[in-house]
Formats: sequence, structure tokens, C-alpha cells
Amino acid sequence: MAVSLIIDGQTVRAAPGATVLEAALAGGIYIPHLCHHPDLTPAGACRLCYVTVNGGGPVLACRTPAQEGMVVQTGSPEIDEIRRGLVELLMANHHGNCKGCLKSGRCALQEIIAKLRIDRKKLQQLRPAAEELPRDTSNPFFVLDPNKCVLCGICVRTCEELVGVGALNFAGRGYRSRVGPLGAGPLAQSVCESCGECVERCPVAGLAYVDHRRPREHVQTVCHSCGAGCPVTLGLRDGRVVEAKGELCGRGRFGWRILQAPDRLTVPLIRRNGAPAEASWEEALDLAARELSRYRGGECAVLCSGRLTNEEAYLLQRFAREVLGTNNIDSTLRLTHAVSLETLREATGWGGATGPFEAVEEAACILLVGANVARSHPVLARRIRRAAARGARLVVIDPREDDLGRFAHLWLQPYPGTDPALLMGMAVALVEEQLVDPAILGGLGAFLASLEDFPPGRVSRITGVPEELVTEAAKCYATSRPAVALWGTGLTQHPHGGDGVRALINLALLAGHTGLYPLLEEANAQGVWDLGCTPHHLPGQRPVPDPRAGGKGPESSPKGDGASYPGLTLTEVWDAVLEGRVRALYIIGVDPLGELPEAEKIREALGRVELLVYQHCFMGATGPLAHVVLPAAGWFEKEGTVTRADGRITRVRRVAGPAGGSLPDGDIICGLAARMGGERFVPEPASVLGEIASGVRGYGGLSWEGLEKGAEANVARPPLEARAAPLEYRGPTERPDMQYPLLLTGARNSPYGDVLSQKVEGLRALQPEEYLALHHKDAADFGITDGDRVRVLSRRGELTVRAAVTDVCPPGVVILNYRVFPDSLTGTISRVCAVTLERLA
Amino acid sequence: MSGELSLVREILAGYGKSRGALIPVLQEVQAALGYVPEGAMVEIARHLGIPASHVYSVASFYAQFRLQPLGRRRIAVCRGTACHVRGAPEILKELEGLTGIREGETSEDLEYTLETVACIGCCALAPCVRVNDEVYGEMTREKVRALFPDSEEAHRDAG
Ligand code: SF4
Ligand code: SF4
Ligand code: SF4
Ligand code: FES
Repeated sequence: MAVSLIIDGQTVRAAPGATVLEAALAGGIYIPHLCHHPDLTPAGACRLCYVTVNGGGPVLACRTPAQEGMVVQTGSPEIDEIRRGLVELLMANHHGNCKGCLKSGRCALQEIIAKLRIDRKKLQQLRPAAEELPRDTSNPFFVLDPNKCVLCGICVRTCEELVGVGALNFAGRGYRSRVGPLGAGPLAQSVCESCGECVERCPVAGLAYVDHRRPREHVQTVCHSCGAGCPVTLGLRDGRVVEAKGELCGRGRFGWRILQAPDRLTVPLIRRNGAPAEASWEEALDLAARELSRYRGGECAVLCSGRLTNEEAYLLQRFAREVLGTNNIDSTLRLTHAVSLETLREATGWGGATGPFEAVEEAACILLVGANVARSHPVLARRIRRAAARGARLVVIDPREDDLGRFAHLWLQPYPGTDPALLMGMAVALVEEQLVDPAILGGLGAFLASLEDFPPGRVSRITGVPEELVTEAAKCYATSRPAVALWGTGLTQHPHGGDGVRALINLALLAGHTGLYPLLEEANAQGVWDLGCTPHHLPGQRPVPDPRAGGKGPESSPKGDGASYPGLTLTEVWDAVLEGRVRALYIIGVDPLGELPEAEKIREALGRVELLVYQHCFMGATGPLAHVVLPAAGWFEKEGTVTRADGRITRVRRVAGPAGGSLPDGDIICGLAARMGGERFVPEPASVLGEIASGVRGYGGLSWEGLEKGAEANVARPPLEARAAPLEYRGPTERPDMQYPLLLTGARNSPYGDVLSQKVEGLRALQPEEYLALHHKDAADFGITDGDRVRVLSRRGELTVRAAVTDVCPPGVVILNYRVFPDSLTGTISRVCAVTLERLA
Repeated sequence: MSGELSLVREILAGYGKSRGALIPVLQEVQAALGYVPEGAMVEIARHLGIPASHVYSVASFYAQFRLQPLGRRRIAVCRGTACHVRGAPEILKELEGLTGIREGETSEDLEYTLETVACIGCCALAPCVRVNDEVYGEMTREKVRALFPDSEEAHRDAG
């Protein structure tokens, strides 16, 4: 219930639960304060906010709840005296002057001095010539300056309460107290994730951006860097982005600097005498269209990324199907979560998350499988940490314990690739513990029979996870309500990835939970999938009919009639090129040679293919091999809508550019279509969205105007109708032996290893040195100490890397960052293999 | 280092996961290792489910916790009243110059640790300095230098 109180003679209405300080500020009455921030718990540290209540002695307004009828006085001779003394003390420890300060004009201390009418000259005289302390400039984007810090603790509370990282804290005491990371080392080498949330909230220049300029206008859009799809408000000045506001991670806060990348493609290129030469759009499009027209149906294939807008994805699949006449169209989702969406579709009728991400923060139990979410979807990781901090049970299944470790109720570390067995083992535990509703069990004969393949002892032997832990995890998940399950590529990027997803869905169904979230990585991976950039589905996830009843495999469809057959996937295309079945490639927004596994095969295929049309913001490794290079606008340079990984649909807006002579992908696709006889190819996003809204399942009824006004829209999922499906145990394809006794798997060691971050200088600099993580017992067995260089040998290949001795992975398992995990070790796109180690002198 | 860490793990095994265990754990680690290494703080944080920076915050707040290992030669300058008035501050300054470290620090090569102590109890010999268990009285800058003839600074002076 709102209360009303009287502050300085003025009646103020306060929101329920508000403090006197909040009530006053909301009512337009200023009370000096430094350590208060509306997002954080009050600390009562700066003591500037003293007021009197009902004529009593001074109390801190930030820690006094507003109550009905209170009479508050914000100043008195006594309080003014205290405040003056405190400000003088602060200034005595505050070095340098305001001129040239990074925060000047936006500084709470300046405001206080002005409001209290404190004589600055007098303060200046107070200032002792004490030594200046070194500033921490290790972060490329902001500085930590102890000379300006007022020790309000806002950064400390931000990092702990909101971000859940806890990189900063007070250290030392008395006049030596500082804020800083563990051991007072450089921030960039601490656990700091460089999200800037503390910088956003620091009231002075204790933490400040190095190159901040005040924006003049703002554009509301969506972050480009992962499927969490955080809303971001970009501030612009003179047409250039100068800041990003919102609840963001480092990629969201600083990733827009990709707009400043020096190596953007700005002019179309066509190959002349074997070398790329600049051309006009007319020339390039004419040439690409003419050349593409020479191929028909299954001779062509289209590959794209999850960074097209919904409208572009829709146009692209129409181009493939209507103009080229083929279902050979696929996206990079194939390598990460296609198996998640396909399995979800089979099991529940819709390939996508079953609810909004907001529900994750409200869950009583969060089951997280094979996802290094703190690196892949950092803001989502925050939601998870906050949920855990307020009592939700976090159960994690991942061979490597990461920084979520301290929030986890249980952490299960199965051998890489054994998650299906572990999840089925949990299902067995649920049945044995009689935690399954008999109504659910009815009619599950085949499934229950398949559980016999997973007796507890066997599951424990296969996975290395103790039986009791399996049971405890299963019980925790089944008995907490609501519970959600999230999974990442650690579950899917295995030969039996589909089994893992199926086993997880089974477990959810048995427990009666509906929250299922595949953590798609590229920002619009879901939309690109939903709108038909897949060889097996038309827009709206409608299956491509296969006239070859019971048709086998990825047979190439007959020339000229390709669109009536399911097409080739991104992983199948390369073989098809090498076998001469596919002769022309149209590649958009992905640099296969630069960023996809199986680089050797791709290089050979790209060298062999008769026609390569490459459309991208950057030349990458693929561009130089292309016959036609079409420069495309980036995420922040075009209009459209996107579907984040939980099915929420939002607008992305143009904030700058397009750079140089580049064009939005939609315009380029339509330019090609028009030259090749395509009909009704109109690039305007609003009109394409209209077409989508009138015909695509799940996207019905969307309106451009509605989304423009910020209306909430979600993919309309069909009602969940699912049954647990039987699974049989399939052993791992790689097993350790005497010669190769360790299992190597991939993980992320930084949020900045992705291709987009690599284009931003500062983010690239934050990428730590690569290392191989190994358990100290294994280190002892191999005579390796922390920091040694080691050779990692698999049955097929080898690599040299620095060793980091830890106990975040179980004995017998070693872990390498995905980014430097060479194909040569596994020989496939799988990221698990048996290895041995050699210490290098 | 890994030997130290396994010791820390053994100590932690004796405590629950409550934050209240932080100070006793720090004390026990310090008793076992003579100081609280950074790696131990990370390990303690992980065990107690708190950020490592919080452990550091607490450890650096209390003077009882040493965050660096002790040097082979542990130098304590008496700052009792008698010593103070008879020149302890100059002696300290001289030692800081000789060892290249400041009060409360240990040199990188783990040779020296420099501290001040309340009163050694040899006021008659003020100002005095203790090196490991040996007490030296009536110190002057020259005598201090003679005590550490092999220090870098002394070499430079001699040369
Ligand atoms: S750095 Fe800023 S936010 Fe942090 S304690 Fe200092 S003044 Fe407060
Ligand atoms: S940038 Fe983010 S992670 Fe780093 S200290 Fe600030 S709030 Fe914490
Ligand atoms: S979590 Fe993902 S969407 Fe959100 S700011 Fe970070 S990269 Fe962008
Ligand atoms: S704002 Fe109340 S004590 Fe700082």
C-alpha cells in the first residue's frame, strides 16, 4: 500500500516498500546521497543522506522505510554540519580536479557540492598533496581510478547482487581501503566479465568509460550477439554510436563497435583474371544472377547464418525454393542446435523453447545441461545466478565446473558425451522413487521397457557420476515446481546429440515440467529456422513433403524439380560439391572457411565449386575464393524483426550506415530475384512481415505497426502434446584406452571467442590465452605442472598448448576452448576424443 | 602450489558451507601455511559459495592475515615509544631502501619480509631490530647496512 508522508513541508506519496530517500527523490526533493542506487540493497555507507524524522535525531534516509504520516526534515544545522564534514573528508581523499575528469558534468559529487553550496576554493585548500595511486587501465573500455573513488560500494553491490560475478570488493582498511578484485591485481585478469554494469552505476569517476561522449539521440534495438536477445538502447552523436544502455553483457555493451571495424566490405567485387576487382552493384548483381541462372534445382545450395532478420530469412528461402528451385538451404544452426529443434518438434509439435526466458528467473529449480551459459548467454546466466541467490535450486550437468559453481545446488560431471545415459538414469530414478504421476506413466510401456537399458549401476559406470548424485539430482528436479531445463551445445554436439535432447525431454515429461529451453547462440537462429532456412522444413516448420515415400537420405533432387524434395544440410553440402552434385553456392552471412569446422574439406569444396556467390560484411577467409562478393549491411544497419531463442519477436532497427556501398541482405536477395524472374520479391521489411503474418504458422497476426510501438509478440506455439519416447543406450564413439587414456572435450573459456567479438579490438584483447584444463591428479600422472607447454595427441592429430592445472574438470577429462579445438584431433565435427599428453621441455 | 592447495582442501573438508566459517578457515590456513595464498582464497570462496574478492576483502581487512609468504629473513622494526623517539622511522626507511620493499611486504625472491612490531621489549637498546629470532640493538643506518651486506642497495653503495 502506498503511504503518504511529509518531507520538508511537502506531502509526498511513496510506493509501497520505498525508503524515505526513494520517496523524497520520487517527489522531486533532493537529499544528498552517494551510495544509494535504486537497483541495489541500501548500504548506508556514505552517511550523506541523514534526515530527521518526527523531530528525532538524524537517521539515514536510505535505510529508513517511509511510513504513513512521517514528518521528515532533510536539513538542519546539525545535519548540514555532518554533511559538510563528510564532503570535506571525501574531497581530502579525492585527487585531481574536475577539469578533464571523465565524469565531469555527470558526477554525483559535483552535484552534492553544488547543492550544498560548499565553497570549492575552500575545499581545494583542504586537499593534501598526497600521492596519486596508480589507475587500473587493464580494461580496454573503462578505468578503475582509486583517486576518484568515494568507496560508496555501488560497484561492489552491482557486481555481486545484479551480475552475480563478485569481481570487486573492498580491500584493506582505513585510509588504505580500495575497491578492486582479488589480490588487487588488474581487473582484466580477474573474474570481471567486462559487462560495464558497475561503470554504468558508479556515481563519480571511480569507474568510467575511457572514451565516453554524451549522446544526442537514441535508438531502441536488440543485441546482435546471442539468442538471449537483450533489448539495447544505442545512444548516437553525429550519426555515430557512442554508448549502449540496458541490462547487457560485455558483448552487448561494447559489441556495437563492430560498426567501426576497419575491414568492412564496402564495394561489390567480381573475379577478373583470377583476382577480385571492384564492380558496380549493377555489374555484380547482373553477373551473379546470370551465373546462378545456369544452374537449376539441386545443383544450387544456399547457406546462411542465424543473423539474418526474419524478413530476410523468409525472402532467402523463397529465393532458394521459387527462383533456384531447391530445398538445399540451411543455416549454421545445423552445427549447434538443429538437432534440438528437430527433436523438440518431433516430441512436442514445435521446434523451439516452450516458454519465455523471464520464467527462468522465477523457477524453483533450474536444470542446466551442457551449457557454459556464463560465456554463451551472459545475461541469461545472471538471471540464473539471481534465481539461485534467492533460493532456486540450480542443478548443472557439465563435465567442467565453471563460475556458476558457487551457485549450484548440485553439479554433475559426466564423462563427455554420456549425457543421454545420465539423463535416462535420472528418469529411472524418478520411476523407482515413485515420483512420476501414474497418469503420465500410463501407455508408456515401450519407454519404460527402454529404461531397463539404464540400471543405476551401469549409468554410474558409463558416466562416472555416483548413483546417489544421479538420484538426488532427479529428485530435486522432479520435486521443485516450477522447474525449467536449459541446454547448450555440450549436449547436442555429439554423434548422439539427438538422444541427449530426447532424454532431457523425456525427463521433463516424466516430472510433469514444461519449461524446455535450447540455448540457441546466433541472435536470430530461431527466426531463421522458423522461416524456412532449413532443407527439411518450409516456413512455419512445415515439413517438406518427400515424394520418395520412405525416401532415403540426402539424395540430390532431380534437376529442375528440386523444390519438391528435402534438401541437403550444411554439413552434407560439402560432400555434394566434391561429388559434383552441387555446382553453385550462394553463401550469406557466414564465412565457412573462417569459422566452421572441417576447414580442409570446405577449402577443397570451395576450390572445386563452379560458382561461389558470397554475401557478407567482411571478406573473411571465404571471400577471396568467391566469383562474386556482395557487401552486406550489418545487424545495426538494417530494419526488420528477429525472434530470440525463447520465441519472443522484436524489432531490430537501423542505427547507422549501411557502411560504404553495402546493402541490407533483403535488398540484395530481391535484386538477384528480380533479375532471375522471381515474382513479388519486395525488400521492404514491413511488407515482407505482412506476408509472413498472413501465412506462416506461429507468426500469424504479427503487425509491423504493433511491433514498432513495442507491442509484445511471441511465436504462437501449438499446445504441448508430448509423450516420453524410448531410447536405447548407444555407447560413445570414442573411448579412452591405455595409449590414449584421457577424454578431451571442448568448452568456452571466454565470452569473447565468437566471430563478432573478434571484430572488436577491445573485446579481442579481453580474450585470455588459450589453455588445456586438466585435473591435478592427471597432471601429476603426466608430470605436468601449471603453465607447462604440452603436446596433446589424439589417434588422428595433435596440438600444442599451455596446461592449466585445476580441479574444475574431473580426473580423466581434459578441456580445450572450442575456438582452438582443431578438427584434426577428432577427424569430425564432434568435440570429444581420446588423447594422451606429453610435456614439452 | 598444489601441495598447498591440497592442504587447503583438507582444511575445508572440516567445515560446512556457511559463510560464518570464513574467518576460522582463514586462520587455519594461515596457521598451516604461514600465509593465505591467492589460490587458497579462490578455493575457500568456491567451498563457501562466495566470490573470491569477498574472501580477499576479509583477509586484507584484518592485520592478522598475511597475504604473502614470509621471507627467509623476517625483519621486524620496533616501533615502541623508546625506539620511535630514538630513530626507528629512519631505520625503517633505511631497511625499505635496502630490501626494496615496504613495510608489510615480502620481496619477490622471498628473501625478506619487512614488518614493524609494537615493542620487542628491549627498550634499553633502542632503537632495535629483530631478524628472525635475533635482536640487534642501538641501531644506526650504518649498522643496519652492515647487517645486510649482500642486499642490492648495499652493493650499489659499495660500487
Ligand atoms: S569505483 Fe565508483 S562505484 Fe565503486 S566504490 Fe568507488 S565510487 Fe563507488
Ligand atoms: S564490469 Fe561487470 S563483471 Fe566487471 S566488475 Fe563491473 S559489474 Fe563486475
Ligand atoms: S546476453 Fe547475449 S543478447 Fe544479451 S547483451 Fe549479452 S550477447 Fe547480447
Ligand atoms: S545514501 Fe544513505 S548512506 Fe549513502
